[in-house]
Amino acid sequence: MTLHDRLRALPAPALPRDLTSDVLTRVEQLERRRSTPAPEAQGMRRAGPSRAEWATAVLLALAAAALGVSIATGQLPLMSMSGVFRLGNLLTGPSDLPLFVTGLALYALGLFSSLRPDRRTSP
Amino acid sequence: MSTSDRDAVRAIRGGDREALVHLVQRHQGRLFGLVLMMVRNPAAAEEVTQDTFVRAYAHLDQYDENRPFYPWLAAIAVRLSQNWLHRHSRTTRREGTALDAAPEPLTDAAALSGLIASERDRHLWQAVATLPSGERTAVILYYREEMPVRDVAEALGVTTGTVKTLLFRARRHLHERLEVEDSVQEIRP
Repeated sequence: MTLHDRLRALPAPALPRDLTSDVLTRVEQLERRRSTPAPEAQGMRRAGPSRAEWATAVLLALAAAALGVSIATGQLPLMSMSGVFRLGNLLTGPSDLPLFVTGLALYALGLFSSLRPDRRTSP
Repeated sequence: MSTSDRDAVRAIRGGDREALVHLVQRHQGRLFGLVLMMVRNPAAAEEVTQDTFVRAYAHLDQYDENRPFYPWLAAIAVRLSQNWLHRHSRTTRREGTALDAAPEPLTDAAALSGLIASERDRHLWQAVATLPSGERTAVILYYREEMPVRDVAEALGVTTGTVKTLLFRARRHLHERLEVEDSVQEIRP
């Protein structure tokens, strides 16, 4: 008997038990999950923040930290646009960075407010 | 696809969940053998076999009725088995193909052997079981499942050339291992 023939005749190991009922149970669970609407679809707030919300929070935290450091070191006594410009100049020398940082912070604020989820709850 | 499989698939698509019973009972033994040879752990093979049917049910809309049902099911089983191997790997090794990149857990040889009655068949199973995962899966799909090379390639996600290479290497390895085994048996009193 050649190797080809032996491999073709290789028997299947016996299945220890019938899996039908387990499969049907799992399919029923799957169908139940499918038929239950997601919390967002019901107008409920979801449990955790999304990636976009995390990214926005990190950007805001960085901007706030930069301003905080500058205030603490006395470089930015007043929270103003000119102060932000001075901070940028302090950190990098005269450049467009302050404008960039300010724009980024404003953009992040806008993004964050637009991304805030609907706080309505289901009846 | 056999008529009964086609009817069952249509019935399931029409909302008759009980028709799934037919598909499970018809294919579970064959599928279990395939998965067992890949994961080499009977408990895991049961789990992956169940997962395969559930996954197939969930994505039945993606199945083309004009093609045979079992190769489509086997392709899902192969992917889930590879995922299982990745999750339960203890070592990582690479053997030349994307399929073989899947690391192997330790083989539960005793548990595997218990499922094969004939001693001669058990030796062959053990020899096949020690092949790298790509060669092993190709051998099982091509020889025992009698799937054409094209379907094997589709199930493994590789080209037909790669399947032929895997089969060639597998035959060479099996020849070597079975020759050693036969010589050992001849020496035994």
